[in-house]
Amino acid sequence: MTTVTMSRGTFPFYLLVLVVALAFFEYGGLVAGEGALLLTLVFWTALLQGVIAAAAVADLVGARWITLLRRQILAAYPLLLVSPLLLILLVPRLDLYPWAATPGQWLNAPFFLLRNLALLLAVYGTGRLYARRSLRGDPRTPASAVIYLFAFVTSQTLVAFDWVMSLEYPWISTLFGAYFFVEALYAGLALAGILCFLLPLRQREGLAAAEVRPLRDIGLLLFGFSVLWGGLFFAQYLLLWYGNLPEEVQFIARRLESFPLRALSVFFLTANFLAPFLGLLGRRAKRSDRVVGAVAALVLTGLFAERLFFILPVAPMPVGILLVENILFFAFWLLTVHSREQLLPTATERSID
Amino acid sequence: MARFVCESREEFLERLRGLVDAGADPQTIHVRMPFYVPEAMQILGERPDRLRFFPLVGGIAGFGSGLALTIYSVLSWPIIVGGKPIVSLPPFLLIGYLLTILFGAVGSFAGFLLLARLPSGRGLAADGEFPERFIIIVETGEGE
Repeated sequence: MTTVTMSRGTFPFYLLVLVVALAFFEYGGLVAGEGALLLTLVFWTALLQGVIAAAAVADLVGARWITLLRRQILAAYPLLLVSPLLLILLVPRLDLYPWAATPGQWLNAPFFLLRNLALLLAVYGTGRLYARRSLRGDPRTPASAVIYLFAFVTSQTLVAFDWVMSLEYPWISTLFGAYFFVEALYAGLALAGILCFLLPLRQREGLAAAEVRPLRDIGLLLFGFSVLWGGLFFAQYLLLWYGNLPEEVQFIARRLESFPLRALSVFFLTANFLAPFLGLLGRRAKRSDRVVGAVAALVLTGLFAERLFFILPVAPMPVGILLVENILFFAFWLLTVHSREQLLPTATERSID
Repeated sequence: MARFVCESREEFLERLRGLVDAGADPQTIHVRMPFYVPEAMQILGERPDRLRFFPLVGGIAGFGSGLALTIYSVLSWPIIVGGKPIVSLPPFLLIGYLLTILFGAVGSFAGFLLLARLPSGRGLAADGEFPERFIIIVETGEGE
């Protein structure tokens, strides 16, 4: 059976096809609604930046789980280029933001685009440098991992404040930035968990007990991050609840008073905290690729639902277009992982950084 | 019952690996070590011990106690604070969470003392003393 694979020569073409397809679904006039592209962009930016960040952290601390998954995980780095392209596509949608009518010094369209574009390109540049060094086994890998992580944290903080929080301007939460980059890291680990599940059988068969460690470690990390996520969520919620100030509480009250969003909040609380916590509590569960894969998929769905919870009240969106855009993105990521041998440098390739 | 005495860690691991490779059931193999050797547990398939149930039970008991304590307290002395309902779960969860950690930690320590048969030292050397040596005991079902 022949399968579609990308090479370094054809990758820009495929990338262009993805961006044009997303633009067509968003602006092709198929259905009304304007939030699908923003949600897709926010979700996939977190996912792609987060999975590279998870690898960078693992490289930095010398974690062993990364060795078996390095090429599969780092296959996502060329996709970091999609975020700045999609941000440019978002320009006609900037009137979604309440500040667009009365621009200020920080929140105005040109500066918004400029700083976000610059940061997304910086994340791509630093991510590319880190990924290529890590794949070649370069001794300078830890230094580039630190630089990437710095760009990642700054970018995700800005995603939280600029892209999502300013939708509800003047509502503010100082924890939002930290919350978003922790979530991005959580999403990255969940994507690594899905990769563990998707690893071809021939790579999993015959693994000795010591080699099952990557799976167990990812299960452990997902378990730990579910507690961290629960803590951050609760810290934010408790302060809003206790203070009960109208300008703070309206963000949550508005979302909890209607049916779909209320149900979404219960779902993402279960998917991001309760299910991973209870599901991965047992030792055997953490070693099962099916359990880790299922929990990872649930976490990703939960994070998607949470982004929907944030964005939907401000920017209504057609469910069909939203699903098509995200399935398209997911398929493109799978294609990148599948074509990793053609796209990624090998350990023996000459340094061109 | 077969007993092997090894002088070094390497010899011990080699003998243990040889026994498992030769088809001995890891469930029938018991080891005595002067210090903890994680590789031995890997060879034997890392049989879980019972200690893990102590923090689990302690944690669940702690969480329940925390909620019970706070709810019982506010129902016994009902004062409305900040316009919130008398039984307001969000702040009570904090007490539940803290008691989960406290009871879980205390449960772990108690479980360790119980399973290690401490503070009494009588049970510790039930199989004889083998200072600085690694012992492998294989249950064969003969001569016991």
